[in-house]
Amino acid sequence: MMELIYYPGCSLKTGLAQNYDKSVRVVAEALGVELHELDGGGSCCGANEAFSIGEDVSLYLATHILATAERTDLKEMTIPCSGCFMALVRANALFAEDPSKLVKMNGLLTDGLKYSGDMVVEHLIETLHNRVGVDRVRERVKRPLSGLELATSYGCMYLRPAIYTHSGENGKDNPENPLFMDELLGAAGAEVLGIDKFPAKTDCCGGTFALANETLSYRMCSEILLKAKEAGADMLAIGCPLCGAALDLRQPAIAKQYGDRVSLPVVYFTQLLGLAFGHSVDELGLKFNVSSPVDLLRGKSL
Amino acid sequence: MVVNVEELKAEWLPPKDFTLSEEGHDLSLADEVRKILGGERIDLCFRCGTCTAGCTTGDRLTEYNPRVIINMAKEGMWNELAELGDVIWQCVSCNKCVQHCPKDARPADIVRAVWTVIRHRLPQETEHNPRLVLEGLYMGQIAEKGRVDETKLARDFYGKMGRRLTLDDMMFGIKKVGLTRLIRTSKAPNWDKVKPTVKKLIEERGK
Amino acid sequence: MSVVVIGGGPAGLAAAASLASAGEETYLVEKDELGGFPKKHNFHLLAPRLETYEDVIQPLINEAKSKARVLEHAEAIGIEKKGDKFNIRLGDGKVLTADAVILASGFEPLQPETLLEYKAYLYPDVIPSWKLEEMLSPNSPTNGIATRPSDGKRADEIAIVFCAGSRSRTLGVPYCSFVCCGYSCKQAIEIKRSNPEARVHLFYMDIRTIGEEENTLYWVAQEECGAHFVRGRVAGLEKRGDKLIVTAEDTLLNRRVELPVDLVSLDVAVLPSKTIKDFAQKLNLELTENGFVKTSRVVDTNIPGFFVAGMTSGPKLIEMCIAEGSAAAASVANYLKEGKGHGSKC
Repeated sequence: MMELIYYPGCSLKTGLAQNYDKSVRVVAEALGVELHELDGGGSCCGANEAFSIGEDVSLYLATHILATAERTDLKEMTIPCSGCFMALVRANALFAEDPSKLVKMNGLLTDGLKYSGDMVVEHLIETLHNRVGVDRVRERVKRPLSGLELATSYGCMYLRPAIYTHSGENGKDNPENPLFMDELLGAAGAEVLGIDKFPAKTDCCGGTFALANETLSYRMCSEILLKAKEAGADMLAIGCPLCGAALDLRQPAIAKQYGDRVSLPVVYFTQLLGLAFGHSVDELGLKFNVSSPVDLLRGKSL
Repeated sequence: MVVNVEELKAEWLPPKDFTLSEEGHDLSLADEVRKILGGERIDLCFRCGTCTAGCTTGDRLTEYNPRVIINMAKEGMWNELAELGDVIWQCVSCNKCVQHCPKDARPADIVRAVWTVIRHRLPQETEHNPRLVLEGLYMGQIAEKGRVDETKLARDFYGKMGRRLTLDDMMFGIKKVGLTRLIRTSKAPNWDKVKPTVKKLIEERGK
Repeated sequence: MSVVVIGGGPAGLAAAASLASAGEETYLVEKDELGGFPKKHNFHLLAPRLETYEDVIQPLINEAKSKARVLEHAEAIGIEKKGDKFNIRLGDGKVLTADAVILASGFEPLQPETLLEYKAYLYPDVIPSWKLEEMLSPNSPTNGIATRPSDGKRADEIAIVFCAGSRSRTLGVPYCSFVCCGYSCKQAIEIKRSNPEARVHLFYMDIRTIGEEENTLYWVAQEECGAHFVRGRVAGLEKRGDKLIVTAEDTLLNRRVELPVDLVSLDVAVLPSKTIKDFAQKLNLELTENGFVKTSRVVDTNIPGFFVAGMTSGPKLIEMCIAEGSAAAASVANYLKEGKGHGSKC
């Protein structure tokens, strides 16, 4: 039984990505992965708004989470949210580059918490692909996603920058042409569009601006959705709640501005895996998705 | 471009008539950038343009050009930077520039350091910048509860920006998150112990 | 007294020819065929003077073959120093004993697939510069015309990407590979001569056509061959239909550029020869921070009796390799006569 610390982040714990969280737990159980949620869900990682490393608070929040995780006996963490993932791997990378930063942060931590710098932090996509493995996923499939044509949108922070994520190195995903989600969904029976057909695979959805500058975010989302639709995708699969907020939750507003040509169901990749493993629409929170994937799925008898 | 041929304009109101520096060419502000973590790499830039080539925002808002912003800051052209207005705040943190920069100058971090200097020089003029307003609310929530509630964040942000919440917005929130959660945000475990430190760090931001 | 020259490229050939002419017993050991990289990739015109392979390299091959003891298809896989002698082990088990050695093992080209952003592993029309060089030779399968590997069609819009993997601390090596600016301008000239319909787009950070390369290569490419120079480093490539879209910023106009082309040639970096690391360990040879052999007086190393010539000590032009071959030969001759090299204290 594989055991990992699970840090859901604010969006999945209490926010607008509870469908993602639901589906992650269902899939983890189906694959024999025991997720130990960090200390009641932990505190916020700071992610986008508290991003500037010029400000200590950003590193501090990440260190607090890592130190809290270290209090358990487990050495590895898996993170479903790309924003949280970036906050944590960046902290690890900056500490490795400059140990005096770690000393400073440890000096600020409260309640006897200390961080050694050794926590292994992985994005959920990587955990499922590298640790669990595509073969195990294939074995668990009860209801293959046959006839489903998917575009995968990896977003930004799961991949970039390689100085923090180490993408492109040592068996990690390729930052210019990522394939881990593709392979997982392919094992579940779906057809996944390659980068030739869908070049927006690594494009930014503007999620960080979903509130502060909607116009820019809508524009970026519209391009991703349109390119996916034009390439023949039935749905867009994502692995980050920030992308979900931009591409799914805001889709009605985006469609209002750009028309129906940008309407496309958007789902978390774990929701699709869960379906393939035989779980129900309700267990996976699929009705929660604003972009109405359920009708399409019913149409394809999935 | 695929969707819309018209180019986006910077949406926010441009600041009017202010000078960041009395002299036209003030290199001392670049020194301030260097003091900020992330800003010290400003001297690594050799202006190859790879950052701008891959820039997500720059692709849609052509006035946003990280290579130009960084080098204007380095050369002391701070008044010209201020004239660019709100465009320079439009980085979406996609990290393509950091990924591609051959010198490991980390352009996104330098741009953030530039923002910090501008924010400190012009606190009143920039405090209505939507990005900073959002940041303030976000930090406020973290300080209080150690967690961020997106629906509350949206409500408060729209309130500050003078956008009225429609019934649709409210029904959306209730439908998605549930009424109880809308009224009361959860708190991170043991947050009271951490709160004073976080509050202090937030106050110290970029000093 | 005998000398072993390791590597039969321009530097090794010049060294072996010079030494043998001076009467020394000279072995030349080459793992493939004589002629080095230019031979391997069928070079025709050489930068910077646009002389032909036949005029520059072939005479060296002829001279080395007629005067020195040449062993082709023989790789030097091991070396040790015993007293004043060097024992060089070849792939077939044979051991050569020498009083002096010249290492002229050339360089290793950076494989384009490692540059993830240029996607050579996905698109056959993204090629390394040596492939373009092969195509431009008049006796190539395409008669000197640059064509697209994917469908064999003639390439009319060609992008040449400078510094692919060079001058980078994040994606490649930090140093400059020296030769690319010159040969890229040369290629632009050759492309236009073989295909008047072609347009070549060169994406650069700097144009380092030093000395006479400036007006014989750069100006000619720009003025007579309509080469389109864009000052901005290429961030990425995308496929759209059957064209490749090259993305860069034109930094002189503050404007992003997305150019559709048929073929992309990458000026891939020059890496230190693989032999160096191995030999360095066995002999305690001093290297530069970039992994090339450290020299004093251009050809001497910290090991008495062990000399280097050509790209083994860093990226440089073919004619400099040839010059260093002769210089190393002179150093060796002196060493054998007086029992010491010029500056064995690096």
